[in-house]
Amino acid sequence: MPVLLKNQEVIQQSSTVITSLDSLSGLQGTILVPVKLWMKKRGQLLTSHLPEPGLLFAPDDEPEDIACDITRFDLIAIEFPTFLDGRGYSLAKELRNHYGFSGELRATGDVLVDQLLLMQRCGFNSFELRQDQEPESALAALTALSPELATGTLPNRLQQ
Amino acid sequence: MYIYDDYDQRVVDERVDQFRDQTRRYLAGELAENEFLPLRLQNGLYIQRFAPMMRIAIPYGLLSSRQMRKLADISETYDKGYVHFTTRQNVQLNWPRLEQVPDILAELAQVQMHAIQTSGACIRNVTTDQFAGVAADESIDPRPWCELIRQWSTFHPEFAFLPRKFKIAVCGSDQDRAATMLHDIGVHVFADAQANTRFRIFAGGGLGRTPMLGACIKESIAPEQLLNYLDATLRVYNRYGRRDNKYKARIKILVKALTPEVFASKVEAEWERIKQSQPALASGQASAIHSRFDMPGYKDLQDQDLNDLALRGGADFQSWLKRNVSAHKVKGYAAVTLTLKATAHAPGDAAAATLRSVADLSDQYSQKEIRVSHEQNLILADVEQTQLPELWKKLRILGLATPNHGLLTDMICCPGGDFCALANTRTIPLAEEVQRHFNDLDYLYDIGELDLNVSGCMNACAHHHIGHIGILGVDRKGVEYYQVQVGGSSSINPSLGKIIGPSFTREEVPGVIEQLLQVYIEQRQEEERFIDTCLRIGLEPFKERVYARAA
Repeated sequence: MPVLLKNQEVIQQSSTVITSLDSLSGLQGTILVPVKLWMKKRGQLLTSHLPEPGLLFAPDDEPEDIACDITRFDLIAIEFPTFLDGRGYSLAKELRNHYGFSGELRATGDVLVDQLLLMQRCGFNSFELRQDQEPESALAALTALSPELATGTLPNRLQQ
Repeated sequence: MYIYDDYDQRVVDERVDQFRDQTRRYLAGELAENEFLPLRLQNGLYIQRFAPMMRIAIPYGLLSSRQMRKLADISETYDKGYVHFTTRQNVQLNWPRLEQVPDILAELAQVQMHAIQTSGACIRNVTTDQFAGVAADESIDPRPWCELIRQWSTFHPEFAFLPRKFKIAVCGSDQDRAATMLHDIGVHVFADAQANTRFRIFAGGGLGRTPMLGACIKESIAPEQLLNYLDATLRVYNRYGRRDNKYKARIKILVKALTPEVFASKVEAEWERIKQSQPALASGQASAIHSRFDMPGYKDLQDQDLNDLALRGGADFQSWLKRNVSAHKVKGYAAVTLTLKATAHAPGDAAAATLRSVADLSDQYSQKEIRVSHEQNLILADVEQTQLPELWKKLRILGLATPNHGLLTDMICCPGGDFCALANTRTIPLAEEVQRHFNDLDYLYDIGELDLNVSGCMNACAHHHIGHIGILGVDRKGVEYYQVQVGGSSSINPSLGKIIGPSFTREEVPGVIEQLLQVYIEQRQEEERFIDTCLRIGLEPFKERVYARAA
């Protein structure tokens, strides 16, 4: 079962990404709806009574396209298809700062220990670790830099 | 020098600990090769042809004598006793051992140095004019703004995985000695009609396979919005820059594909949004950085009659005074260039003993500071004019008084195939042939200002596209050939050079250069430099001379 790092804790949690509107019943765990699917089938999804679905952003999705629906969700996940693809960091900042999303912002996909601090500083507050990543190393990585430095060098140091 | 406070020191110290642990995990097999790669790149470690190469940052090219001595020590303890100064004002070790890199970083941190983000798909060292702060023609000293940008870019969490590397250059005078038009972002600091500091922003410049000049995307922006605007520009690049093809991933490709106007409007729109949620820089914050700059204390001196000084000094001193000494904005002072370009000396290299000597000279003659130029030379920027003769004598003994600054033999040359796995050809042997061939200083003086740039491959680390004469190493069926171009320039009216024709062997190159210079000598008018004549008469006369068939 995939491991989720949230609130300094390691939780076993599964999630399912739905790809179509068929077989929506009996789904286990957290349900994630890709943005592209939401855009296509919004009406049906709104009436389908899915239990607290989350929204899943691919790196090339535009928050602007679903601006009015963002605060409808308690959970938004952003995918990192490879850890080298840094678009998720900008998406996170946009969702937090421009669109006022204040729920759980989850990093998913190729999520590695050494990028967790960067992700957190961009607004992610939960992390679905890649299968081979050690949860203990992950927790340690989040405290590798002392808090003042970890929350952003320039804004912080200019407040000294 | 920018003086670190506790916070700055902790940034570099904690980074060392973080990387030490990452290295440990990698060597223990806990971190895969491809996962360790961006971590080590962003701590300066780049695997080259024979050994890891470590690139140490010299922020905006400014070093203290103390830091220079530490570099000398490190080069002897961990490397082969010499360093290489680069075309982005950084310094490189060529043979460190991977497992020792955390120790090297720890030693660097002791003198407020680091290798943060000197490689990798992130924001790199911010570079500037080697005469920043002292140039007579400067409007505003760009260095405190370079420091502000450096702090903003260091550990910036949003931009650690850009589509590609990102390079920013800043200049504060009309004469752009920082080649800002050839950078991903170029920042021009200027004073507006009300004497307020403002910035003009250029984007999308660069060399390599697809050389392009930057386009102006913002005519004038206030200091309090500079960082917000940079955030907006980087965010548009991060989100929309190409990630499918490494050779099409720089911001210049995006700016060209969208057109500068559309790109600028996207940045503008993003900036408007950012302004809603991110505060402007308070004036206290910018002045705090200015106040932490320990600027040299200048005496109240008079300008000397330099002609008089020259005549008393003999021919060699006169040559040096003319070529290697530049005007200073403060009366009675001068800036002195030490070219690391002596014959048979790999351009930009300096041995540990040289570094220590330069540090000593800096203590005695130049306020304990040294600059590194993107032309791979060192500068003592604050020398009292009355001390020039004495300094020159000492530089001569050290072999650092070659009076060739700005001349043909003051060439910019990448490390080439002797060091770099990307190179098509070696470049250092070519540089040496050119240096040996053109050893008549009188002839070089007659030619005057001439930028020769030699790159070993299309990545153009020696910026051959903007050389008055540019040379590019090419591989033709396993044999080293060199392509020659003319007419490039990086100053007020930047231009990209044009290839004159088919490539040459290394032995042929000096003769080809001589033919180009011959055309110049025949055709020049009045005070024209080589580049001026080039731009006036065009490529044809040069092509004809070099490729003319025997009658």
